[in-house]
Amino acid sequence: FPWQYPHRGGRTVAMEDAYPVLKRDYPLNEKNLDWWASDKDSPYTEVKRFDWYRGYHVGGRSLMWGRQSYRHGDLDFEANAKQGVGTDWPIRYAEIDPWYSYVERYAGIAGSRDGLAQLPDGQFQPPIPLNCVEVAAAEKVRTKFGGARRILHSRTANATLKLPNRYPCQYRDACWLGCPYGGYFSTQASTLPAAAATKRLTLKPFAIATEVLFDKDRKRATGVRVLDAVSNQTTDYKAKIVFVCASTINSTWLLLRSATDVWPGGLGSSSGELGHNLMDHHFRIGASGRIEGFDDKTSYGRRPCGFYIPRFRNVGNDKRDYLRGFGYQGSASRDGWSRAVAELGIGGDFKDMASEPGAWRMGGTAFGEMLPDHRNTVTLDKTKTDKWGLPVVAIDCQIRENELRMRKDMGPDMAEMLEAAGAKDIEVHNGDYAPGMGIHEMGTARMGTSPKNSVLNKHNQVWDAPNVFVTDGACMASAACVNPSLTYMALTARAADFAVNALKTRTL
Amino acid sequence: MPNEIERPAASAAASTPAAAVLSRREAIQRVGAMLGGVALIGGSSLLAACERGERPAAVADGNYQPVGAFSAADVAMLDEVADTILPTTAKSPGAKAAATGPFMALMVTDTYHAPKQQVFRDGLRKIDDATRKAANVSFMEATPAQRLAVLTAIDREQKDYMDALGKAQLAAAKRSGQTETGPGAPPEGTSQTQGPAAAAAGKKAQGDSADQHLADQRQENAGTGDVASGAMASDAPPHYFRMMKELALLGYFTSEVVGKLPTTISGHQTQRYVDTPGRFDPCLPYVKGTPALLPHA
Repeated sequence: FPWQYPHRGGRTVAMEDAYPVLKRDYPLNEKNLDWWASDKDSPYTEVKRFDWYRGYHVGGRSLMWGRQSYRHGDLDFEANAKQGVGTDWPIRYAEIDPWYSYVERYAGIAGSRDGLAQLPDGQFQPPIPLNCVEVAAAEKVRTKFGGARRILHSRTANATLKLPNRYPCQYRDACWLGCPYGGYFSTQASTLPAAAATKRLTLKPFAIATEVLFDKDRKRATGVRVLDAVSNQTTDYKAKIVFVCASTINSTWLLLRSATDVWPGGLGSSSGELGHNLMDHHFRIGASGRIEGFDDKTSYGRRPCGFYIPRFRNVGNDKRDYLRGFGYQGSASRDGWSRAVAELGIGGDFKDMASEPGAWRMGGTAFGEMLPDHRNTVTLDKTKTDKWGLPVVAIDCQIRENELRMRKDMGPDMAEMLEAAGAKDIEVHNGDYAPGMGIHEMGTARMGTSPKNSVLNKHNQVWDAPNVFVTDGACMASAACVNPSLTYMALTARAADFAVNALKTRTL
Repeated sequence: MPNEIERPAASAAASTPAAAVLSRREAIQRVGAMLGGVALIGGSSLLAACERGERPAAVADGNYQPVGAFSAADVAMLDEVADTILPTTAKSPGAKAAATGPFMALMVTDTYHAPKQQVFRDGLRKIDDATRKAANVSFMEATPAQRLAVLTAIDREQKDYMDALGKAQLAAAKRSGQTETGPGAPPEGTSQTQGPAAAAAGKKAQGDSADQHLADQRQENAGTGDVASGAMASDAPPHYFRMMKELALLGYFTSEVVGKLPTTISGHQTQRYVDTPGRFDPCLPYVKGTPALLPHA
């Protein structure tokens, strides 16, 4: 209940002092503070400002994620090759399509099938409905833009149907607390129980993998060295295969520290691409406006999502002076009591007014694709160590010309759609963005077509150590403009299937 | 090493929305159970955090406790200020019944940086001075009607002040080219997003953001020629009465007293705060005058 938080969910000065990075945006709050890594214990070097939001507990960011789940299409997989940007993806949509379906069924993705090439449909549970204002706006926008711009249901990893050992979303809007119903996909709700059911799971919390152990004669990893975060004891674990899924920057951090006797730049560095091409989604631009004519309408239940507007820039015949594009996440809702803070008035009538719902307001925020750029890097900073004595990472990343051009469209395009929807008092908002704020770190150990241009092959194997798989965001060759987690999940399932078969046939 | 995970036993009941009204404590404990034997990070400390959360109780007259630098008398006065902003009406109890004064004192103590705390505390004195000037009594001695008159005048003053501050901040944002904030922006003291979306995004966004600039507050904004802003510095602190109003509204509308007040949705009686709605109805009739359902904190 809100009243059980001493500061009603807010942040204290002491919390801000303790979390100098986390405080830069919304994640710092008293509701789930313990689920964020300590900025003080785990420092890093910002060559340029980079906001790094981390969860170092069992389940990691699967507990705190935004749950928006979209497929990349061939528009995305082909873009690097067609435009001569970065390196070509070694796979196309047809190869990952069945694995998207596999993880969508497993995770429980609620969404609608909309038949758009730039946002391929999947194996969805029934969508979480749009409210009446959103439905009306969707129709007006579709008509106004001849179907080129669409307001769709969010595709979200909140289940609307029962899944094994899980219950559907209860519309509490409390996902960040960890759902006692398993209403959204998280490690704790979904994959950990499944792993435990095999009776072959051993889970090692408080474990920091310090390096992948490498046999240079066999050119294979032999296991991992693990530092116990509590006891500081080091243990070597032997393994036939190693999956690295520590989240983008941490996975690359581990590779940078591994096999340095063979390659000074770390395991996977022979291509010259390890630690390069760091990406995020750039955002914090959008628009909102007031919608009239629905004051006799309301909704019940706290929806954990809203609407999604798929990319329409540089799609079909649309051509802009930048590459790629952006999508919008947004929603319509009635103003609550907080609107009264800025209004003139005190007393009984004021209080009764504040108690009632206010105007309907609708808004959307753009999430833009960031191009892979060799100059955006993660390297080891050997001048600084963390609480456990490990050299920290230095992050040097910025958005550049293409993103800055794209940002010029991201506000006005939303304003245009709101205008089409009949909104009044439309305002474009444009906050500051620093790389990392999207919490969609990608790249730094990219997949590719050759050991010369990439760290990983088409099955996410490190070219230089084929029994090492990297399947989190580090593997991404491009970012697309959609939320990336579903793609990591599909690539992970695909790589795991490949690894199992390779072990069985002794080809690994 | 455990290799089995206990499913939350009570989840079966949860599949029936009617039976799905969990207390937050229960919900948290179930997360704990879910994590039990696997990872006590998060689960246990989150529970502990909730244990620490004190239930605000209405304060019996004369029984106020000091909070931080606020004396018991200050806290009592804050309760009366809040109750003047949000008094008892035919529809609902006032801010005092929700222990809003102690909450405001806690928020100022824990979440405001020192300069902003000072502005807030000075505000209490200014309210007292204004009351003596208008009615020859202290604020605590004044009648509800006298308090309402004094605070109504101060409210108009804060509105004018905050409108001017908003204009100055917009002008400053335009001058600094905030719309194209690019790479390498400084990590500290980031500028705030303007507009209603920002206001909706964070209840305290404006207060917090303004707070970051307090080190050199009240600089004269000389030389900008910005007549519309009334020569106000864009980094001036918020007006003390805006802070009080904001905290009073926050404390009141997130309180247990208000959360448990009745309202109706589509003809059915419910509480204003429903912990586990269990379903989402996207489009229902709304009758003017019905109190809104409240969001999660």
